[in-house]
Amino acid sequence: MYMQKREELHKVWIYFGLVATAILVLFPMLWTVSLSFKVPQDITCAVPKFIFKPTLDNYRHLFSIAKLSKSVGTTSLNFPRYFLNSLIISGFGTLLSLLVGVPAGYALTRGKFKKSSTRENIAFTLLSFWFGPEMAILLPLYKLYRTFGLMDSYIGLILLYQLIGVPFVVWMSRSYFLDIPVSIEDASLLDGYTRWQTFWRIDFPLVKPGIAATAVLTFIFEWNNFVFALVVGGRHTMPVTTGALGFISYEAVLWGQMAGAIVISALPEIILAIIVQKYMIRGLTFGAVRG
Amino acid sequence: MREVLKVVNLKKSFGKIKAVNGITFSCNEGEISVILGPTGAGKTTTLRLIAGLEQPDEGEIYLDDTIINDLPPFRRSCAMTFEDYALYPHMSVFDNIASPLRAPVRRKQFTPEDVRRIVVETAKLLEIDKLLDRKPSELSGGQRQRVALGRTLVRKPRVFLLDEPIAHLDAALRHRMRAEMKRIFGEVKTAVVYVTHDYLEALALADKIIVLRNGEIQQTGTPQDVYFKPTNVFVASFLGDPPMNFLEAALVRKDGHVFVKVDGMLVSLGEDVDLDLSRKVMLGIRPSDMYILKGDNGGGSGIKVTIRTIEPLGNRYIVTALLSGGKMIKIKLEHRPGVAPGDKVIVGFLPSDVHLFDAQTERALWHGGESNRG
Repeated sequence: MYMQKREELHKVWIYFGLVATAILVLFPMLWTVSLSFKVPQDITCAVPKFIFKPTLDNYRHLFSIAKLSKSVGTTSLNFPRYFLNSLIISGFGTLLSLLVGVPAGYALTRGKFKKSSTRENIAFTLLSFWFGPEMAILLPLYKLYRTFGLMDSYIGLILLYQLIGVPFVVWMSRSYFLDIPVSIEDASLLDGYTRWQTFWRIDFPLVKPGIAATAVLTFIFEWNNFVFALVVGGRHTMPVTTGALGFISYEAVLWGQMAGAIVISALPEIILAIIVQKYMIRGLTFGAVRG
Repeated sequence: MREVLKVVNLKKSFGKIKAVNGITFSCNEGEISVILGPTGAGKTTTLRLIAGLEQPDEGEIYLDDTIINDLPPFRRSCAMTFEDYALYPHMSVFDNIASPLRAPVRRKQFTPEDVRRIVVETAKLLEIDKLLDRKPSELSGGQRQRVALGRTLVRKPRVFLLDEPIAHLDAALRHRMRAEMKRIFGEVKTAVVYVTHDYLEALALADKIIVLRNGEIQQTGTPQDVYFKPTNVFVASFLGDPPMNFLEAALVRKDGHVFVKVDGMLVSLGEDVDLDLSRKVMLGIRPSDMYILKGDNGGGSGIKVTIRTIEPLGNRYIVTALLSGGKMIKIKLEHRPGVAPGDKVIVGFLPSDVHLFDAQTERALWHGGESNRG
């Protein structure tokens, strides 16, 4: 009886903690969403309004460039363009990261090196790119991009985003390849397949869910990047992250439109995150070899 | 019998470890050659070298008199099963077994109908024809083992390489599969190289046993040879459970006969024995070749021991006993021992069951059964 009560009390505490965390995490998001449906008077009033008459004006403004530019005066905001830029840079960036990172991950799993520690060292060096502060490389990067005329170009940004994508893809895909027993590759080689055929027949189907999840995460990381886009991006290639800054202008801060822009920018990430959730549940493919 | 596979002076090191250190053997058509040895002896490495999954540092591998050292695995006519079965987890049993038939190197040989027919035939032979649609994760250990076997059987390779194929099955299934392997591989007229660490499996299956230790061959011979005429202490103790007892002994000559003197007991080895009497020797005697003499019968024709423990194993008993010098020996009896721990008894054995080894080199010098066990 006593134990049961204790257990119930324990549960109450857990729920309390979870609800508190959820409010803490979700409130800013909900507030942003609510801002995007408010008229300026509702946004700037002294007492925050929880009940208000929703409006779609902010979204309407976002997608009509003419009106928007008028309201901000000299700044010309082109949100649909930023969105497209983000899609192009992160999309092709992710694609390139996968093309480079997955084979590298495979090589760093199965490749024969003179010393086996070499393999680990290379893999770890790649991962360490992730730890380094982005700020530290900005100045030389700026100079480099200037010299080679890569400023404000899609190629420049896509290449730069490989710094985010490749180490992550290599590290993740390596962990997936490591889960595949070498013996099933050996079996395939003996069955009469070349290494290349074996990769596509055995390894690829087994790592596919993992790679899909990795691709989505890479896309999200690249989509979220702010610093690189701020430094080497420009008028033509500005993605949503830096583009959103444009709503803070000399004359006014367009809170409502900024909130709308943020909501739309976050949509692809939220949709993708929901999709990968399924793939994140791993262990379906592995463990079947010995069992 | 035709020689299918020949391995000459094969060497392979991994860093400083000499996994395979100059081994030479051959396998004939229709014969099962068992490579027997403890963990780390180089058994699996040997198979991988033959299969082409590893490149030898030195030595040649011949398949039907052709050197295959430089051929990639898929060009060698070798089929191999792996200790962990290595089934493709994302493929059905059917696709697993069909895999070698659908390989690009053989694609033109088999139509999809051929593949279906061969896979079903093989599955029937292995009694897994009802499981063809399942995934490996839905199979028991024994079933997986059969699928792995099926995958090697569908193609007609020149050599089967089997790496501990039944080591991970439970005891009952292992016995059954052992008999079945003998049947299955008796039907296919190819060379089989079978790797195991289980000496009973080796004795039961082999036409020829190759005993491996630290990458070197200790002995090659028929199961009879290896069991009854081990070439050294290692082979003698590795084949047998409990392992052979080894006792310090001396050689003496008396009345023209050579005797081996162990713990006060004299065992006659016969008249015409050509042995260097000055040599320090070890007497080897299998636990199953010893018997217990109750009391002191016949005046010292045995070794005095004190019984320490008795382990009943159903129809068998393992008796552990201590010699006066503190040395421990094991005796395996097929009947109730009729003694209790603490009893002082005399144990005996027949001269024909004695093995003598050089105490320094550990090489075999003399086997008691030499004359009558061919």
